Amino acid sequence: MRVSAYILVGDPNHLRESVSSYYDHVDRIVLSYDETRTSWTGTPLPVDECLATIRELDRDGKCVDVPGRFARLDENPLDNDTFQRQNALDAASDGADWVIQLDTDEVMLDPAQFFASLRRADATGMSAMDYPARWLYAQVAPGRYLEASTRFWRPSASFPGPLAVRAGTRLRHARQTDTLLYRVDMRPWNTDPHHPRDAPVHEMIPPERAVLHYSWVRDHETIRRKFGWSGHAAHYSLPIVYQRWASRQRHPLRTVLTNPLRRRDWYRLVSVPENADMK
Amino acid sequence: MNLTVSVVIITYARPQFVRTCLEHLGRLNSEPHEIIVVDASPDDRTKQLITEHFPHVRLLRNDLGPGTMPESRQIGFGTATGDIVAFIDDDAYVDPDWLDELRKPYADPRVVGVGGRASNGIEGEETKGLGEIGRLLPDGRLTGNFGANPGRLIEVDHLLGANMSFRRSALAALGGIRGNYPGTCLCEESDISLRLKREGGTLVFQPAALVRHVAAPYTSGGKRFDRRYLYYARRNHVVLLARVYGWRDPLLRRYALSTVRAQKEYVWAMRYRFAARRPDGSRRPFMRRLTAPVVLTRALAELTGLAAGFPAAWIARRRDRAAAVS
Repeated sequence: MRVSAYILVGDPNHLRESVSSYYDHVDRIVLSYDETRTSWTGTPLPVDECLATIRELDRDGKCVDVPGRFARLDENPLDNDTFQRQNALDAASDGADWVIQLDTDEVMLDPAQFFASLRRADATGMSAMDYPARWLYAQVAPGRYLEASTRFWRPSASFPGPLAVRAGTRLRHARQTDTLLYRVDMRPWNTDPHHPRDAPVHEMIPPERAVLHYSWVRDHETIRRKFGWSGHAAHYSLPIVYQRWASRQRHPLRTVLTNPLRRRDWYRLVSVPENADMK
Repeated sequence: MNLTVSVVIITYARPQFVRTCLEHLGRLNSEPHEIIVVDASPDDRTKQLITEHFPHVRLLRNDLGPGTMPESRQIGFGTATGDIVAFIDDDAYVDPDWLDELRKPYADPRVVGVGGRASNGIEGEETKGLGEIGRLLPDGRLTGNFGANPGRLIEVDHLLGANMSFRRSALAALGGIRGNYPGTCLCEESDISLRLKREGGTLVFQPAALVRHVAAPYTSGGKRFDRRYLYYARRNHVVLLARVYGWRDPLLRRYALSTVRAQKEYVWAMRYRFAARRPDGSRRPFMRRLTAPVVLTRALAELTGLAAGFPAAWIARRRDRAAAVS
């Protein structure tokens, strides 16, 4: 089974840990970035800083640059997202059976488990693999994070889209695609509130083997910039979004204990090994 | 190496279906090594049919009567001499290239079982459940969808009894086919598959090995999917999981929880039928509303079956140990 990956280059946070976590398991990594170093919403991106980090860890010469024009400011940012991903996916599909589509703030905690699940997805004839991502909302102390959970503090997976797809797949929206999904989750029943309750689960893994999504784990300045370049900028740039994030980061215990009183946005406090300890 | 295939058909009082089944087997592109019919009927009609019209077919007798399909399978398996033993139902009619297609995956020595597709003549079945063909899910449930056509060979966890085959040596090493799956006999074919899988064998679904399954009426009492069926489905499933994986395996616990959760559907169905008006706005007859709780008897059947499965599993495991069957 030949596996490639693609990366949308532009966010240096957790880039090194993310790429290192699967580098040894893939044959090729396509680096997709905008030639003008501009985001989908027109803000500048630190592409060169990211590329320098990648060059450092690319000891086997697996990374291939595929730049393009993705900052189409007359288009919806999420359409630009899909457009850039499809472009990268097509390039990564060349000579591959499967393509990993992991963002650079997502880190595989156990790559061996991820690729074992991928082999099972392949053997059972599936076309894409949904793999659970634990969504980290904010860092509250060294190694301590607020993580998205169920109302009563159980682990809750998020599936931003399949993290692996067969080569040649057509994307519908961002990473999402309309195809046969092999669904891995952290419980025998679906844990993602955005999926139907009876969504099938084909394989179960413990939370320690999921993907960690350091989604909003940033310092104040970076999170404000992220809200600007994100495909969801229209919503994220509302002042209340940042105010809530800052308040919850300051008062994590209160945030966790008041879960039952909120209709959504539930969190639990978790410890995550620092990067050096990760597998 | 061309592996030889024994074909085993088990039957109970359905000679008219056995005749058609054997006629289709006579039209295969490649001849099987042998055809064995195991008859548990209370009359001589099947025996007469085979003696008069199909003298090349070996006829064996299961005197245990109705509801003993696994025992019939074991009688056939114990007598078969082919490298591969294929089982088809008496109401499953093979395509001419069925045998060739079924045999192909055995070229891989890791493959210990190959199942084929069963076309039930239902519209859309080719694409229904494509992602869930023959799986054992983490919540302990088994998926079917053996009418779906993925267009290529895929790995599965269990096979459909109406169209399945096994490498004889692999199944013999486990002690053959286990009985003690009474009633409408769900799960006995899954028992074979899951045991082989547990030992590290590979099971595959070969959609090109096609049978046309006409779903003959039950001759041993009851109807498909009636309350008796629901009872045995839950009971035998508990027995299956406990026998194959043991009491401590989380699958058993999760399956019990899944079953209890699933009963919500009946409660919703009752509430729906109890409503004064239908979705189109018309008034629902009073008698219909009065009898709405009857649907809960299906939940009762399922939960009783679930509870009955535990002592039944305890007995079955004791018998397995005594018979040294794993």
